Amino acid sequence: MRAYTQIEITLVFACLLFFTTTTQGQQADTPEKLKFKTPLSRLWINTYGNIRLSDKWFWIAQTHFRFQENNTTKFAGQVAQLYNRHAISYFFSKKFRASLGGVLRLNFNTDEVPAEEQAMVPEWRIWHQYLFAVPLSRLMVYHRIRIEHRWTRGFNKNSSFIFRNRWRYMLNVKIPINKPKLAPGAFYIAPEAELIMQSGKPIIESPMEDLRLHTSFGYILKPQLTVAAGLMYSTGQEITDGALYNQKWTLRFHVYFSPDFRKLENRLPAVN
Amino acid sequence: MIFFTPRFLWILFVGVLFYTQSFGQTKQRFSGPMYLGKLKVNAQYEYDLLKEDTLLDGRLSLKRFTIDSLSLGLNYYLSVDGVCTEGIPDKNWQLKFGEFRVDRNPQLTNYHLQHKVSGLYHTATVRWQAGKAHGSWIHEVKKLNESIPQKTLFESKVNFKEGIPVGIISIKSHQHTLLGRFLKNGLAHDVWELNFGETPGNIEQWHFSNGRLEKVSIGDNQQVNTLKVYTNEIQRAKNIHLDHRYLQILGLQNLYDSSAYAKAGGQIPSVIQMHSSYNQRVAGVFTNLKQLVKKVSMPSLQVKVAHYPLSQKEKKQVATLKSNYQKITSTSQALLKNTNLNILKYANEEVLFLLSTMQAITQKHLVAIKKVVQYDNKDLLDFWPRSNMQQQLGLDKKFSPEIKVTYQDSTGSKTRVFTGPRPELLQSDQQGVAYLASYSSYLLLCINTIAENLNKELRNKKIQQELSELETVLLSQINELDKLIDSIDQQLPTKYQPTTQKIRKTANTELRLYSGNKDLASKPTQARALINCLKNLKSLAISLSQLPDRWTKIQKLYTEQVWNPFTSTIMNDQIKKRLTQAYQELLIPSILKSIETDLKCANTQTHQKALDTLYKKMQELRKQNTTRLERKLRRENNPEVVLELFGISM
Repeated sequence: MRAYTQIEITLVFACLLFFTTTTQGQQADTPEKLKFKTPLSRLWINTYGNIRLSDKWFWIAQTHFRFQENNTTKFAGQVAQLYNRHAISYFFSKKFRASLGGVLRLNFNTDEVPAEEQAMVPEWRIWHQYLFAVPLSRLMVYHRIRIEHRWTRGFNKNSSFIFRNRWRYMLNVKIPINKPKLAPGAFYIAPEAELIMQSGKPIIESPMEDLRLHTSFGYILKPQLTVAAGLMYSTGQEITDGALYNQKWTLRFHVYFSPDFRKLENRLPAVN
Repeated sequence: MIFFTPRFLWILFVGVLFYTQSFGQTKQRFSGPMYLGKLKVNAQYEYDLLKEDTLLDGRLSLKRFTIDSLSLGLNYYLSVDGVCTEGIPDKNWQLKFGEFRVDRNPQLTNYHLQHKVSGLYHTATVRWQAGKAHGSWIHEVKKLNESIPQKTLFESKVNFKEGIPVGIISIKSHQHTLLGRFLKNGLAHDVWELNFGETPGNIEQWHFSNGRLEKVSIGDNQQVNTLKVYTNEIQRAKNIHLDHRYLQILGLQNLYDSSAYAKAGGQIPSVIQMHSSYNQRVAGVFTNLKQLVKKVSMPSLQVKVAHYPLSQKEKKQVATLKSNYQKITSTSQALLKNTNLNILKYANEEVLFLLSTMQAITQKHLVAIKKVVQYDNKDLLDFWPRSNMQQQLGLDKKFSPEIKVTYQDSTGSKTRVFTGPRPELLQSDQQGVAYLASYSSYLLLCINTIAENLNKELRNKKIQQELSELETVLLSQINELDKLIDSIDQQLPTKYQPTTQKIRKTANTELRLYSGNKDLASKPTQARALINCLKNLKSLAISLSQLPDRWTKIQKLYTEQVWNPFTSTIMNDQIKKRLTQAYQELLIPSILKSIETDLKCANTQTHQKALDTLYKKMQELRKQNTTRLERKLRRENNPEVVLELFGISM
C-alpha cells in the first residue's frame, strides 16, 4: 500500500510540474482575444469492457462509436470516429489500478472530402492509466490519470504522422440514488470533470486540448453489467489557434460490462 | 475226618450266621423328612422296594410339631406309630393329634428349657389285621391346661371284626354317653340310647331294626316325643355309614321333623358327628400315606337308608347345574368385586341396577342351586326323592323369570325388573333335577347378559377415560396451533395468510368431524389420528413460518461477492439465479397453492416434507454443478416437472 501511495504522489507531482511549465510557455504569446466556436453536437455510444483474466489481471476492451452533426442532422448526422482501446490492467488494491495498452482510432473526414484528402485516417496511441478510487461516505470518488502517446496525421494524403502527448486528469463521483451503496439495482448519478492537456512539438499555444464536463445517469443491472447515459459539455483550444476555443455538446450512452469466464468455484474467495 | 474239626464247624457256623443276616438286609430304612399330604413330617420307616414301588414293611413313625412360642396361634402336633406288613397296616397303631397354645413363660429345669402347653390332645388307638379294622378302635380327647390333663372331652370305643363293627359301641362326649349295638353284619340294631349324665331325666333313643331307623324317642320324664322315621321296610335300601350325612339324608327324605327334633334337644347326631370326625382324622392319615401303604378299607358303622339313584340323564343335568353354578359364581364374584364398576355405579344408574340384579341373583336365587351343589358334593343327591326337591328348595311354585330388584340411588329407592333371555326355560313342565338344571341355565343366561352389559359399560367407561386423556391432548394441540398461526400471521407477509388460514381451517374441519362422530368405539382411533394430524399441521405451520428466513438464507448462500471494476467496489452477485428463481417464484408458490387448495390430514406431512426437502435440496445444489439443471429450467415452467428435476416427489 505504501508503494502505491508513492506512485500516486509521484504521478500527481509530475502532472503539476507539466501544467506549470505549460503555463509559463503561454505567457510568452498571450492572445489578444478569446473566441468560442459555435458548439458542435455529437453522439457517443461507448462500450467499456473489463474482462477478468485472473484474480489480479483484467483485459480492458473499449469500443466507441462517435457521431457528430452534419448539415442536416444534429448529434448523429455522420460518423466521426471509431475507437478501439485495449489494455492490460493490474489490480493493486481496491483503491488503485494501473493499466497499459494501445488505441487504434479511425478518424473520418467530416467535411466534404476534396480529392487530395482521405475520407478516413488512423490514429495510433500508447496509453497508460492510473486509477484511484476513494470511498467517501456512500459515494465513490475517482481520480483518473491517463497519459497517452499519440501519433496522428491529417486527412491530406501527403500528411505525415505527428507525435503528441496527452495528459489527462479526471475527477469523477458516483452517487447512488436509490440504494445506500453502489449495488445491483442501484441508479446513480455520476458528475465528472476531465482536463486534457497536450504537449509535443506541434503544440505551441494550445496546450489545453479539452475540458470535459459530463454528468451521466446510470443503472447497475448486475455487477457485470451497467448502463448509463449522460450529456457532456466540452471545450478546448484549437491546435492552430490558441485563442479559438471549440465547444461541443455530446450525448453519451455507455454500456459497461465485465464478464468473468473463470469457473465459479475458482472465483472464491472474493477479491480482497 | 478233617472236615468236622471244631475249627471247621466254627467257621461254618459264622458263615451261616452271616448268610441268614444278609436276607434281612433287603429291607431298607428311611429316616428323614417327608410330606404327609401338605404337612412336612419327620419320618422313620422300614420298607421294601417292589419293582419301583416303595412298600412299608415294618415299623413306621411320623412326627411333626411346629412350635412358635411367640405366636398366640395354635401349634399343631402329630405323631403316628404303627406297623405295616408288605404295605398293609397291621397290628396296633397309635395316632396322636394335638392343638396347643404354647405358654410364653418357659422354665429352665435340669438344663432343659420347658414350655407348657394348653389345648386338646387326641389319641387314636386303632387295630388292623390285614388292612381291615380288627379289634377295638379307641378315641380319647383330653383337654390340657399348662401341660396338665384337665378332663376327657371325648371318648369312644368300637370293636371290629374284619372291618365290621360288632357288639357295643360306646361314645362319650362331655356329659353324654351313647350306647348302641351292632348286628353281626355290622348294621345298627336295637335301641341306641343316650345317657345325659347330669340330667338323667332326659331321654333320647334311636330305635334301629337291622340298620333301619324306625323311630326316635326324645323327651324327659314328663313327656316323650316319638318321631317316626322308616316305619315300613325300605323298598330300595342302601347301607351307608352312620355319620353326619345320615341325618341330612333323613331330612332330605322328609322322614322326621328336624326342627321339632332340634327343639327337643336331640344330641345323638352331634355325638355321632364328633365320632365320625375323629375317625375321618385317622382316615386322612392313611389316605395321605397312599404312596407307602396299600389302600385300606376304613371301618363303617352301617345303617340303611332309602336310595333314589340318579339316572344317567339326571347325572348330566346335575353336571350342567354344577357347571352353571361355577360359571355364575366366578362371573358374578369378579364383577361384584370389580372396583371400577363399584365406583361407576355411583355415576351410572344402569350399572347400579345391573350390579344390584347380579347381587340379588347370587344372594337369593342362586341359594337353591348352591344347596344342590353342596348336596352333590356330599353324595346326597342319590338319597333325595325327586318329589321333595323343589319344595325343600323353596322352588315348588314356578319361578318367575322377572327378577324384581330394589336399589338405592341418589334420588332414593327404586324398583326395576330384570328379565333374562329365554324366559321359556322356566315355563316348561320339568320337575326335579331337570327343572333345577333349567333354572340354573336361566340364571346363567341372566348373569351372562348382565356381565355383557356391565363389560360394555366398563368398555365405554374405559373408552371415555381414554377419550378424556386424548381430548386433553387435542385441546392443548389445537390451542397451540391457533397461537402459532396467530403468531405466524403477525410475522409473515400477508401473502402467506391464505396458507396459514387453510391450516387453521383444516384443523377445525377435522375437529368438527371428530366431535360429530357419535360412535364411541371408533372415537379413540379417530382421536389418535387427529392428534397426529394436528402434530403434522403444526410442523407444516412451523415450516411455513421459516420460509422467509429460509429464503434469506438461500439468497445469502447463492450470493457471491464480486469485484466491479467500474465502480471499484465489491458487489453481491446472485448466482444460479434460475435455481433460486425456481425455488422462490415457482416451487414455493406452487406448494403454497397446493396447501391452499388441497390440504388434508392425509397429505399434510407430504406438504411439510416438500417444503423441508426443497430447502435442503437448495442447500445441496449450491455446491453442485447445476449447469444442466439450470439449462433445463430455462425451458420449464411446470412446477411439478421442476420438482421432479429437483428430485422431489409430492
